[in-house]
Amino acid sequence: MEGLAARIEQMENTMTTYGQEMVIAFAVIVLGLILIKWINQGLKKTFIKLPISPARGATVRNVLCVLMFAVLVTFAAIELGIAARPVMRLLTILTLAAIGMIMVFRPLIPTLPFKVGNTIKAGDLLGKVEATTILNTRLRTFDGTTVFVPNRIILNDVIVNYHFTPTRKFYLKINILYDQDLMKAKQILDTIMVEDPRVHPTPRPVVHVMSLNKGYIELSARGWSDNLKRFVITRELLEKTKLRFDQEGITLAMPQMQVHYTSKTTPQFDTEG
Amino acid sequence: MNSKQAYKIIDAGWAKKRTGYRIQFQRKVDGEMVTDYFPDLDEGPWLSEVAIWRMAWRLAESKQSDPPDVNHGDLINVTVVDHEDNPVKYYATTQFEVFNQVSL
Repeated sequence: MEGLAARIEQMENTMTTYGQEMVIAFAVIVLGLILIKWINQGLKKTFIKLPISPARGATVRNVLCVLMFAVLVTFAAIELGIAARPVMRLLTILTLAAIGMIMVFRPLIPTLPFKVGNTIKAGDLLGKVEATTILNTRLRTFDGTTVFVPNRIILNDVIVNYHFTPTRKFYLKINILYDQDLMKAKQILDTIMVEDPRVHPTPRPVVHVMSLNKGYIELSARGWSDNLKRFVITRELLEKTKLRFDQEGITLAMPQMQVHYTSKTTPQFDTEG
Repeated sequence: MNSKQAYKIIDAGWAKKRTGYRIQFQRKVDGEMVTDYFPDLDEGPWLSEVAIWRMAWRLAESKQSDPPDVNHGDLINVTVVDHEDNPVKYYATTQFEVFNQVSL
């Protein structure tokens, strides 16, 4: 009991001597944190309007927040009666130590294979990365759904990042009947791809006959486009192909199978209903 | 002739790659018919032929005229042109197409 009373008395003395400074320092920290958060949100809104990438904007904001926090801690320390110089020294040492640790251990730290703003495919999910945290990644799919994917799942899964390669090959798979004009079909496909401004001139678009043994002529037209425009280009070229084939009288083939009956296996159909 | 020269001839003479599309239309401004474009000439053209023809059709449908009268705001003789201001054949019909056509 005596020990406890002594401690309480010691605390009373401390609060009497430094209480006012501690309250002011605490208030400085709290108000400063609110101010930093408010500035951070303001910067976030401003950076959206500026022509810089979201990832770079986030880095700049984080650096500014750390600097503001360092200044805030220094102010609080001064209010508490601690000399500013030792606090600044301590913060400098901590910052340098943190930078050194990051530089040394960076190759060993598991990193996500994408950045904010990238379009990725993670498992069955295809969408744009909106944000990443230590625990999860916020992904916005193209139907507007926001999905939070745990990073441990992402790190264990196969990721396709469509920003790593700016160009990508596209395929137009078209089937026509055997009796259709093959050369005209190839010519139409070739022309449609060459004319389109979004189809890259090199590597040059090509049209291949892929197979003849499926009950139709299987054609595959191939070209290169910007990775992010590939989906739309492919759909529009298919639309144009269908309409041009209609104009030129080329009939598309449905997947079909020919069945041949011998006289022994000819089925008897009941025609009376 | 090497392959580079051969492809140069093909690119110049066969199917030309267009660099973009605009909608060309006419409308009445201060009592006079003026030719205008979408997108504006100081903006970049659209790269999608499918999208620009769809847009042209929508514009024409939205501002139909009642020939032979052309009222203020009507969009007439709506068609699609390429980067050299040449009319583009409508990909659906392979014919030159003009929506809301009015002879002036």
